[in-house]
Amino acid sequence: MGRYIIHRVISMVLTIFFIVTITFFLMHAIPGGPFTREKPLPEAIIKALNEKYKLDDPVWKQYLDYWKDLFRGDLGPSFQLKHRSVNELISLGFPITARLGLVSIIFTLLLGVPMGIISALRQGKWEDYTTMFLATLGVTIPSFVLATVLIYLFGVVWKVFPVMSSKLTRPIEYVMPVVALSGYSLSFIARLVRSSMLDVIKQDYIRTARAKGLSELKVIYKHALKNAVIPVVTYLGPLAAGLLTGSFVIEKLFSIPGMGGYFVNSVSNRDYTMIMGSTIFYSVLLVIMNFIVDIVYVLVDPRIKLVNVKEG
Amino acid sequence: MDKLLEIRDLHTSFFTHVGEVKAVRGVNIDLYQGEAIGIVGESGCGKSVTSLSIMGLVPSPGKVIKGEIYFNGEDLLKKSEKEMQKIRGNKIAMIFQDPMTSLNPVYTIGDQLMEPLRTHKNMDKNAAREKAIGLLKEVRIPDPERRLKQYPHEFSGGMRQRVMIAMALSCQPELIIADEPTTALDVTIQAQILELMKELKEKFNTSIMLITHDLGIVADLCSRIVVMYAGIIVEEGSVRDIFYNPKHPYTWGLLKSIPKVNMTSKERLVPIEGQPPDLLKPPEGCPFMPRCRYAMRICEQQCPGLYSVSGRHKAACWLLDPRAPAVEWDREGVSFK
Repeated sequence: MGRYIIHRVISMVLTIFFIVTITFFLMHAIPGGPFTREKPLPEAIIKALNEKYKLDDPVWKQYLDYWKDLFRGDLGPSFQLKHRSVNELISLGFPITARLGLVSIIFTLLLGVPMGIISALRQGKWEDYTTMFLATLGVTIPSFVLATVLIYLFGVVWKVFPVMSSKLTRPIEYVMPVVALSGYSLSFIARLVRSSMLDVIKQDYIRTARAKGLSELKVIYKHALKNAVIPVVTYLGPLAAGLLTGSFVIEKLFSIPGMGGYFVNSVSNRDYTMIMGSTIFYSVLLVIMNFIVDIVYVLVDPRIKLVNVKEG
Repeated sequence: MDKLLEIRDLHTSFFTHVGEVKAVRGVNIDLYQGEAIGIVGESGCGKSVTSLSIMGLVPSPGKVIKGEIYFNGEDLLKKSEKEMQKIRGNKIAMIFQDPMTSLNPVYTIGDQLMEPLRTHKNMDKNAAREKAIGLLKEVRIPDPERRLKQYPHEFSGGMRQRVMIAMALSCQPELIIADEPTTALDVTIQAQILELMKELKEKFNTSIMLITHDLGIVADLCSRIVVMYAGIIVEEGSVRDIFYNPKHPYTWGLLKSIPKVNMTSKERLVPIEGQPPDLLKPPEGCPFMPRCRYAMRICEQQCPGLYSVSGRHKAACWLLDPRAPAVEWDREGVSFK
């Protein structure tokens, strides 16, 4: 286990290294730069700016310089938002996105897992049909459509929830963005749990548990559930990373000043440091989430042992 | 001796989308205290469904539609699910066919072994643990303290079946139903498991209902045999009756299909030709008729009742009718222990 973790950490560092390198060179390979405008800036200004941000240096030198800063934990200044560093912008945007994401993850799991279980246990009954109808809708309707409908109905027509969620300070502001953001993953998890639950309750060990005289509740809650959630754990890594980094569309629609907006804008603005900064931030988050999921996997399923491939 | 279990006219059917499959069609079985009975028949003859009916665990869309199952004088079919839960694992325990899949892969052996004790005997964790260690010793699993903390995948098939037996024994049930307990194991392990069951039966005076398709393994453990075919009982009697004086052509076929120790490689096993009938529409007459060498006209028209041969030896065959021609069963082809 200890050796496995060391190996994993090394491979995580390597992954991040490649992501940084590839992104850096791809970004520079695209024609134009952060100060390219439709209406060109005067030569002198561009020259001064390029000099200031060292954009005249050869790319490999810029690359090495970038690593030097990165080792100090400095993601550099933003090229677009003056007097703001990338670190600052991330620390400003991420907490909001993460709060929304965390609530969405909890909402997804607290609702999606029970929905799947109920629908499996009541297979072919109205509970099953209702849940699966909703889940199918949830998977097929894109989040921006869902968000727009929610805003129109609950925000504009019935005025139940605030339309502008902005800083997410009051619980009521979370409702619509969370529902819109987790609609897909919730439906996905409900369907996943349903199919794995249907598979598990046919297993011999469930019959053994019943033959022991356990109550139906205990059979399901103890013997079936732990087996049924194993596939969910696999999906948990990408899910957590996806929800935590948020969605540009949802943030835009609810005017939430989160990370999503910065990331998308940085790409269209060629804000080099911001592109690098958010990419690195996202990748680290994703890699760590997957690592945590692998560890959780072992805790849920004792048949899985964390060993290196070479050790067998 | 007191009657422990009395099954009267049991009918269990499966209501599938193509129609009602009559899996058990009027079965009567008596089981006395401390007795071991073998229920023998090929796959799909209704032996497992009979056992699940006793437990009240017939899987959906199956249902007991008629009959009574008295256990210590009380009809199990009239009991509520709650009352049945107090009986399952406590008064009647079950051992299943495949030990590889009958244990939950995500819980330790100890956890699963302690469950019935904590549920039925209200033991605290420590008492249940002590008892579980004792049980593992009883079924001769070495190093029980360590084994208790392990998961099913760390056990071999034979060892897992020992765990299942320990689990079944844990609350000292009056009846253990063993549904093909050795079928999934290889031959040497089979013998060990049977030996163990025999020993534990004598030690705890537990009644056993052994369900199997293999007549060979019944002889050792059981005193009486019930032969089932297509959801009905075709012959029942003591082990001696069934092996030395079988009366039903189906039993003859079963006996002939057991390999003999002194068989030469040129000799062949004699299989029972054909397939059992479709229980979606069971035949009017004797269900074995299409496969029977001795079938008469009456066999097609009417299902025979159980004829008494001697004492408790009965068989359901028209050949036993005084008007039928005499057909003698030749003993060739059967080996005895």
